[in-house]
Amino acid sequence: MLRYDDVSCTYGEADRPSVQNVDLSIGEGRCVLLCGRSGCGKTSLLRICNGLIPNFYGGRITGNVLYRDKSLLGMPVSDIVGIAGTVFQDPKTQFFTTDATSEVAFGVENLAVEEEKLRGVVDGAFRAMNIEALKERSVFTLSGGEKQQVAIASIYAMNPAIYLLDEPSSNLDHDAIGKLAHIIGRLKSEGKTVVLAEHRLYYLRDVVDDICYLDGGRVVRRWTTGEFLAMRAGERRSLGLRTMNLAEESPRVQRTASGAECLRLEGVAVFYGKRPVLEGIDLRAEKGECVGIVGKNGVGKSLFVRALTGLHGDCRGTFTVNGRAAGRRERLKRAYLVMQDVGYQLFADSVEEECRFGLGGVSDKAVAEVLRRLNLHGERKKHPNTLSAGQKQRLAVAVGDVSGKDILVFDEPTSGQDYESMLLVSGLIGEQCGKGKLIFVVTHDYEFICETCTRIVHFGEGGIKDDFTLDGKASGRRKPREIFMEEERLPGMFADEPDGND
Amino acid sequence: MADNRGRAVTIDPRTRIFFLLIGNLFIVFAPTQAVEAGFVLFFLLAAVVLGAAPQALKTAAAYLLLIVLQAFSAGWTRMWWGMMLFTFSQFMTMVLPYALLAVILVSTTKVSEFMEALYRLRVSKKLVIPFAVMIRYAPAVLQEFAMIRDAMRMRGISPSLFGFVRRPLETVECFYVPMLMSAARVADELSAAAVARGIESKARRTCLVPMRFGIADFAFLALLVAVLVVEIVINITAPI
Repeated sequence: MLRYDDVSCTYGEADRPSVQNVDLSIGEGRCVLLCGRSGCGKTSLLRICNGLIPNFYGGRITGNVLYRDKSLLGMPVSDIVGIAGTVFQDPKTQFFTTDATSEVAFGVENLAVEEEKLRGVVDGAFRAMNIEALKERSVFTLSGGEKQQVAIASIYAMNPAIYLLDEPSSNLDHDAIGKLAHIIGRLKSEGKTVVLAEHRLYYLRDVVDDICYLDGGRVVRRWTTGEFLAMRAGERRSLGLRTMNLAEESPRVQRTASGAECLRLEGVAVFYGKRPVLEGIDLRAEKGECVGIVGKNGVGKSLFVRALTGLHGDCRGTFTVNGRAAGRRERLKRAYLVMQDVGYQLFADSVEEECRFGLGGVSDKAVAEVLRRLNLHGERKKHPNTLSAGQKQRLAVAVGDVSGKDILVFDEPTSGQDYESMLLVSGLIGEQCGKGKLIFVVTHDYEFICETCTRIVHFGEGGIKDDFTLDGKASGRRKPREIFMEEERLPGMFADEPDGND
Repeated sequence: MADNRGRAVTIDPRTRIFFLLIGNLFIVFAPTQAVEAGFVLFFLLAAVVLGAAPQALKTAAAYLLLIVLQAFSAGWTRMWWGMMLFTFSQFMTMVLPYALLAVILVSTTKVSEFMEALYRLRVSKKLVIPFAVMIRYAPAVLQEFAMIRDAMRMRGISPSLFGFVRRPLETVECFYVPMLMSAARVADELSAAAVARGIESKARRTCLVPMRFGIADFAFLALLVAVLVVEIVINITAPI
């Protein structure tokens, strides 16, 4: 039994506690989901349990956290690791070594397990997670999902009683999320306690037992999974939560295309090294469209958008932008990629300067206008790095806008975002469509697609597998579901059609 | 990076660390560039034996190219560009042998092996952990570089040598601002992940890869020390 007993916590300088008077008892073998808006305190609750607060991040804690009536507070982190293991959000930055085997061994080595036993423990973790094929692989060749599996195996090897997962799905595709759900199920069946903080909820439907909703550092609502599923969609959304039942969602954007062609691809093939990754791509898109690019990881979605934006040069076929043939240089001028990690594309030391940086000949009036429209005018003197994640994203869009790009490409703009931030991104994209831009979004987020896209281009088998409009017709509703069904291979995720939601 | 497959001879990581240190001394005491080039050839041979041939070959090729460049530009030092080329190539040929040694160590040694080796050499934990983070962070930097280069190209700033010559300040600024920001974040998250897996544990950590100082290690170290002694003796006795 893991028990939070009237726990409150305040970070160093903050004037408001990030966790307030939390009482929570979690039985062994249970899986508990902590949800709520970004900054609601769910990550802090995990960090209090694993000792990173106060040992790593600082902070003052009152109350107590007990595991089997032993207080975890005041224990050094290196003693807690044997009781509670943590899997973090970004698989990229939780790897300490450079190959999968060393990574799985890393934690156990720190626990000073005898060298004769190490090999057996490490092999056992690979077997239990069913990832024996990844042994000895270089970390840099693993996909996001594989990295996450290795990270979990590394914790598994240390054999803690409690698993703390901090937004583990944010960087994963649908396949990998399905596997994650499976792994959580397996941990539970071994009698482990699992505590998750998460925004994306649908994959937890079959594994989670209790759901706690946090707001302002307090646990304000609790549900069982059944109760949560029975909650009306409107109420769930007003709490800022994503759906647990994807069947509740269906495409709702009904935008009429302008009829003016913006982009045409004919017989395009994209190569990586000498290998053709994509072939025979024909695509015509109009101004004002929002095209969702979907498909499994590794089918070449990223390569496609890099070729489209002129960042990747190794391709054949013709690209036409606004009726004119567009070579690589021209595409670099006409198209703009908003990266998943926007931090890499902000260079200047103020928001205002950012809109001029490297562009040349942008008038003050144009900058002020675009900042006002994107709701950044109040921040124009601030340093871009002091902005929130959402503001940074808007600033990157502002740069694309002010530099007169016709095509904007978003790479996974909603990973790790709560429901409301997702709606904001959706609104932002809608506005740009309204202005007559052509938008492409690479995404795995079905809820976001429903909210935003007018069309889906499905990549697979070395090219475009399917291409359809998300209109009111039955096929426009059925096809996206089929894609996400097929990709997850988890029957039951779209269990029953709900009868009447907005 | 560190890949055991294709390694011809298994040599203890401690020996590899000594190789790095003594190799550095070889270059420091090298009296002429010809001798230095000889040592680079020797390092290359060692790299092949240790299984780091591809990475080491790249560095060695760059070294060769720079020597040619240096010889060529030596005749043109009266022109401004000749002087620039000469200074550049001379500086780089001085640095590259050391870089080659580092490349060999990093590409043949796993982070955990490296930590274990330093612990066995009784190096303090306070030093070992930052070193390990550094080795881990190096390849990540390359990936970040590629992202920033893409972002620059979309802004019409050319991330090439030519672009650098044309707009040096802007180009440098482009790299260091996002790099610094991401480095701070990555270092923080990486450390949190390491702490949460018990890196600070008081117990002496163990290591999956068995570590044994064998005959090959003694032979290799003896060779290195012998060469160093000969080199120093020649240096002292040789008329200047």
